[in-house]
Amino acid sequence: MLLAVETSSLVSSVALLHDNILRAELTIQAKLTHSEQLMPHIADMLEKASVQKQDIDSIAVSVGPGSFTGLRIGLATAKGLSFAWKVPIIGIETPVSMAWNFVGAAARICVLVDAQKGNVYASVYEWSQGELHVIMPVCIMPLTKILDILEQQGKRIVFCGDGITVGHQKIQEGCPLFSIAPPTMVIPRAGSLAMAALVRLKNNDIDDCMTLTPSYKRRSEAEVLWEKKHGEQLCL
Amino acid sequence: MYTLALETSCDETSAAVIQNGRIILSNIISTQVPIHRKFGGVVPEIASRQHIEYVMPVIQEALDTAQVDLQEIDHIGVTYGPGLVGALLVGVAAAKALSFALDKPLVGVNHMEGHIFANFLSHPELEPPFLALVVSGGHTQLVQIKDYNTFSLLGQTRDDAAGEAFDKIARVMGYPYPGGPQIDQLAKTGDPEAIIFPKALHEKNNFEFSFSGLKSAVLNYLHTEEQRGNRYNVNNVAASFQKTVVETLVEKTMDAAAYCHAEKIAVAGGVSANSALAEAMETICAEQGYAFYRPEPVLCTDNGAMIGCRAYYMALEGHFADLTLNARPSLAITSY
Repeated sequence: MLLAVETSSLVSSVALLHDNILRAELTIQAKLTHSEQLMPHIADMLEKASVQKQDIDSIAVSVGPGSFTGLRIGLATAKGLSFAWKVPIIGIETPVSMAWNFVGAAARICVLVDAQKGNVYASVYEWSQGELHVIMPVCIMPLTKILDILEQQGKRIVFCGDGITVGHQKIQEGCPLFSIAPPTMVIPRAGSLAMAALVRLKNNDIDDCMTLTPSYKRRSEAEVLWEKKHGEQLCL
Repeated sequence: MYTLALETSCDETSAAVIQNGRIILSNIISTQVPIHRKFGGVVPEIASRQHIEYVMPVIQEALDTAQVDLQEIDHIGVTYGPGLVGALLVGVAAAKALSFALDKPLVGVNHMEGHIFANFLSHPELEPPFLALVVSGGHTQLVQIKDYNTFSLLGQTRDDAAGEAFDKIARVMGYPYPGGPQIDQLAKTGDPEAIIFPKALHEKNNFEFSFSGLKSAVLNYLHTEEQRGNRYNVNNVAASFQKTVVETLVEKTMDAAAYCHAEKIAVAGGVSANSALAEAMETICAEQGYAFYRPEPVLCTDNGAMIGCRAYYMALEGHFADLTLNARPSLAITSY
């Protein structure tokens, strides 16, 4: 049984997947803190789904990009569980897990994660012949820029991720090829994360709980300012 | 009984295994000081990033060094405040996961209480009651330790912590972070009577501290001298400033000791590693008949061992946390 943990945004989502059956998924958007919620959610879900701790044989975690603090709570929790239970851990990039909300979709999927100050972490995916293809890997750019790029490509696009809230109107009014995913698919969900992780697990492509870190895609502001001030590259 | 303890409140990622509360089987500290030095102080986001990278390796190393299996651990202690929220959250989340996964009780530890309890690790014979002076980069407090779980806060700083003033003054004089040890070193060859700096809240039985006025006075002195084109003597500035801090700390501690009829006095926290403070406290305690305690240097800085010691005494009385435990950046000293 695979346990999946998703805390990269305001959504708290945990799921259990076993033999292609989604045994349980608990997804809550109530603006509560991940720190207080996450472990109780996992404990509640196991109890309600009648799953024993020792039945869990792998752990998937959403590694970002997203809220730095949210990612660290998810990773610290998942790494702690993986270490204590001695089970494999798999870190999945959040946008990839979100593309799994749309398995088999005809349209391309554009995941927009809020990167603050009008910017988004944007990435584009496409399903073809039962496989997920990366059309554009995660880049940070202004929302308007990614919309321009996609409009020029002339393909049907479905948007998801918390980055759409800033540009909701722009997307809807922008281009007839654009649409916004419904509320059930617009958010990161642990069930989809589990599906994405399963592919890697089957290939024995696993991570190490000692070394797995968030995929921030952005350095801290202090590092950027330091380099600006000193005119040289900073090595930490 | 084995305690596994985690500490990630500021710029050290640490894990320790403690036996029966007092014996350190391992105390692994991964320090970030060289990283934050580049920025002249702790950068919270960078600290959090370092913690998530090192938290599992330090736990593994703590268990390996102690030669204790994770399954043999009786309870898990973790610092949940005070400290940097993003940094605390890493330790808290990891500890909760271990506690849940292994069905081992979780103990949420106050970082400042941990500093005080470092004295139990360095001094096996020490027992409460005693008076503790806690001095660090973020705190300056006088705490009465009545027993292992009953404390009374006699007073604390109204503004800057003593360690904060050390760091700031060292930085303005051009010395790298952390400034405390630099000032300590410079002061050794300076004249402590060279410059008179002001002391605040001087009245008897006032156990509150204030170091912002002193800090401003030293900074003003430095700026004025610079503007006049004078080259000031860094050793004399360091010695005069340090003397003012140490005298204030010693006076108030002695005052508090008399007030609460203490027989033993302990210092704790990063600034307790300061040699002038230790010397002054030792001398006056010897003169006035108090037993004086100070943790060994490695236990003065942030470390998992002290958190483990505190967690053990909480666990003995059943003070456990549940899975909703959250980081509390401005947690106060608590009694049970």
